[in-house]
Amino acid sequence: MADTATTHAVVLRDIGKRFPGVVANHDVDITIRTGTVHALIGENGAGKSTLMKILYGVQRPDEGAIILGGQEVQLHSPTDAIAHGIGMVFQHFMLADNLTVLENVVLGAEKLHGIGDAARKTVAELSDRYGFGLDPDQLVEELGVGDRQRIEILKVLYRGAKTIILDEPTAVLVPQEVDALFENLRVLKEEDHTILFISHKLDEVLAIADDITVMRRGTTVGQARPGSVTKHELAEMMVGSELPTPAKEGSTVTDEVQLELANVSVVDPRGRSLLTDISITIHRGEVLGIAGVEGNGQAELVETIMGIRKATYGQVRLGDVDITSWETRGRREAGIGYIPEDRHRHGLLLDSPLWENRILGHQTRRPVAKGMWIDRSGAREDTDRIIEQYDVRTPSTDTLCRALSGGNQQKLVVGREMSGAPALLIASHPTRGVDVGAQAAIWEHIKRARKDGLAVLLVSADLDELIGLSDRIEVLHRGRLVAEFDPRDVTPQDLGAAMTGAHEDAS
Amino acid sequence: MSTTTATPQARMMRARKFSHAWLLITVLVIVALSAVRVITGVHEIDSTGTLRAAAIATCPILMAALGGLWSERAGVVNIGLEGQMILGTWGAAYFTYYYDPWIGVLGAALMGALGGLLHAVATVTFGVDHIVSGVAINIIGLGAAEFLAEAYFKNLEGGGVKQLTGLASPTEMTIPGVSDAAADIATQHWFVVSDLAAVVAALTSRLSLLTVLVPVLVVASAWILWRTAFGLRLRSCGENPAAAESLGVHVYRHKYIAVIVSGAMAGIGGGYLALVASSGFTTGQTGGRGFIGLAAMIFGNWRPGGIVGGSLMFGYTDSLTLRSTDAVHALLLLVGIGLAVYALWRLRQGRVASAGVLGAISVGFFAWFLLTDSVPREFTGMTPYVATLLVLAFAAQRLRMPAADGLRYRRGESI
Repeated sequence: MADTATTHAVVLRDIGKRFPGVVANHDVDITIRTGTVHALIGENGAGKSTLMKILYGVQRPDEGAIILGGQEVQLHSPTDAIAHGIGMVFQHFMLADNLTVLENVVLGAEKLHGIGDAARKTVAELSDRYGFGLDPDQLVEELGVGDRQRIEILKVLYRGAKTIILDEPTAVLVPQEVDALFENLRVLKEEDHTILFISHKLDEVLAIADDITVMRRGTTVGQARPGSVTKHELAEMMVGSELPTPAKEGSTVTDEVQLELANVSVVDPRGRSLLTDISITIHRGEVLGIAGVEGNGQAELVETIMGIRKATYGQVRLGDVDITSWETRGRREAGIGYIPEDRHRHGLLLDSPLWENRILGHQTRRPVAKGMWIDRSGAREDTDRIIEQYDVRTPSTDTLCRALSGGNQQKLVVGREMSGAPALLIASHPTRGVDVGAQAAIWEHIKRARKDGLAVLLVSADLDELIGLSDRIEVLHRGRLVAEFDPRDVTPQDLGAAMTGAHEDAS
Repeated sequence: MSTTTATPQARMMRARKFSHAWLLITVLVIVALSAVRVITGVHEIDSTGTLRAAAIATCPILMAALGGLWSERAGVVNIGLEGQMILGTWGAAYFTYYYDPWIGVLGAALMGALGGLLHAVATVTFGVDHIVSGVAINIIGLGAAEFLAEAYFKNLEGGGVKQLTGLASPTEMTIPGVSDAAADIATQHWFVVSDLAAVVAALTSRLSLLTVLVPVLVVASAWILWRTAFGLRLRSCGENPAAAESLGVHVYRHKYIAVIVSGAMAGIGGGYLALVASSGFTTGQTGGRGFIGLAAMIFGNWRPGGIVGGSLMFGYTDSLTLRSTDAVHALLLLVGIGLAVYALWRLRQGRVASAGVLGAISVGFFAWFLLTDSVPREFTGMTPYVATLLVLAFAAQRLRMPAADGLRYRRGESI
């Protein structure tokens, strides 16, 4: 076993973990060589996150062994994992916005260099050594996504981690930021760090990984090396069958304008411009995609169209009606459906049954309301219709929304928003956080509605989805429309360049 | 995001600018106060006696606010401060009667800490809504103090079912010479000079050592919370407990400590009321100061310097009410001037709308001052709440409460 001790940073053997009613992991075997980037891939719900929590000591395995550097260990808490040189960068950043970079980094590791100048010096040195370019005294709330991720990596390096777990690190990054991250990872690898890279983006995995392990339904189903495997083969290992694609067939765009924004600008109470001079038209049967790094005005654009936010200047027209001053309810009644970006915060009441959720946003309309009264039986019947048509997997209409998986919740939202034959659908990240099956179903529903003359505004961070579904793509950068693309001849790289403003600088 | 260079200098500059601002504000306040005194001829507005009373009125509020700071920085809203203060008044009375005033202060802290412990058990361990638990503690504190007073003080000398009088006070000190000289100058009513002398006189004659302890506790708390590893961990629990937990910080433990310390601070505030502000315990003597302390903390933007400012303001108006209605009337002019200055400052920032509103309110105060001769006493009692509302209305965007303040935290739920 001496060989194992020197070359294998982490060995997981026969790991199993059960939660009440679910087997999250079983028979998981992974061997990670020291000084490599090891990718762990699999769909949402394949058990990757649970496995990583086990390796990071957040959860304890029911069976199996964790072997670090040749020695079997018991990890009771993250502190144990850190002590064994394992650090984790969570997908959702674990940072306190109101603290400085330095404070976030030293928190929990104050014994190493205190919290004063010695710590500041160490943080600055680490930042320089790996080319992170972070200012220890800046408040985290002032920083962008890429910098926040570098803080997270810095946090684990500061603690002396040799093995770094990155949980879907590229989910929140644009292509250029992904390149920067990969550059950081290569430097780390040269310094003899081991990196465990969790993802479901195959291109990225093939670009950065030295070894690949595939997970499906809670267990490891195969290993591969990037040189000897194709994207296609990996995808099949991941889903057990061919991946669906959002490709569409033929244009259904008509001449009839369904939504028109004329020179819309939005200024917040503090005088900052959120949207500047936005003019777009969407025709019946057309899908307009909006690309952009999060926080560049997509949310504001959607809210302005929905009437949640009011345009400071400009006009919003639905068909040939000026709806600029309308309230949200009026707009919805006029035929706008809305799939919000965060279904938990804006789309559903998690602790209410499905049929009550069906009523939300339709509370003045048939079949779920009669005059000023809620029509319970009508709502239940129509919820049954959605369950059937949209394949929502649920025991009954009285089940609480919380009990459904993300994909089924999203299908319910999509079904609800498609109810009452809307003329315009605002779809904000319609397939975020749902599994491949639900994703394909949602795409299919959007495509079918488009064929029937629905106008769609599609905001998404998934560039493949944008390119696959849209008839036209506009790019938002700092609240302005900076570029327009034809999805038939655009690459994710082109879009990424425009999204970061490179396009603008060049011209 | 390329801001790696010039950080230490930038930091120094920021710090210096910050302390300059405070210095400037202090000087402005003194000059304005002095001007108002000379214009109105109401010398009571900052006489030695008034300032002494103001200091005594400020301390309990400041201790409550400090308690609030401890707890909210760790993410627990503590509106049970009032109840913990009440427990403190009883604790101070009981232990002072049987031992001596300093043991009494410890007793006050202990009783307050018990109230804090109760709040911690409810909010941290059982995840009870912080407001619900806080209200319960206020009711329990009041009831417990009444019960304990009746049970223990009824048969004592100077005691009754609702009170215990004739308690010894913590040591008072007077600096001979300086005290009399300053008091002398203060009565000359010179512009600015007399006002400063009144401050000196108030701080050098019959100053209770417990009054000295209060600012010491404020500075110590600020140092602990912002300059030590423990403080960083505690604050991280109020900002993002899940992140703190992921880094090996014992969130529950830190919250417990914070809330217990919070209760102890409020308890000392209550003890101050029983031992220094008056010479005995009576039930209900806190009179809502726990809530005013909470208001002072919000007013002070959850920062030590700010809560001192807020407490001073509320303590000062509180003391004026008791001493002279003329002075309260003169205060209208001061408020008018203050608002006018603030309006001008906003105008310079280009915030025309808010400057207009502030200007209009300021004119309103001037008119009020000129058209009336006195202010109903009850109005000053409202001051802390009105001031807090105004601050919330005008500075809400700049107020920065701890991000996870008041939220229930369950270990392992969000990671």
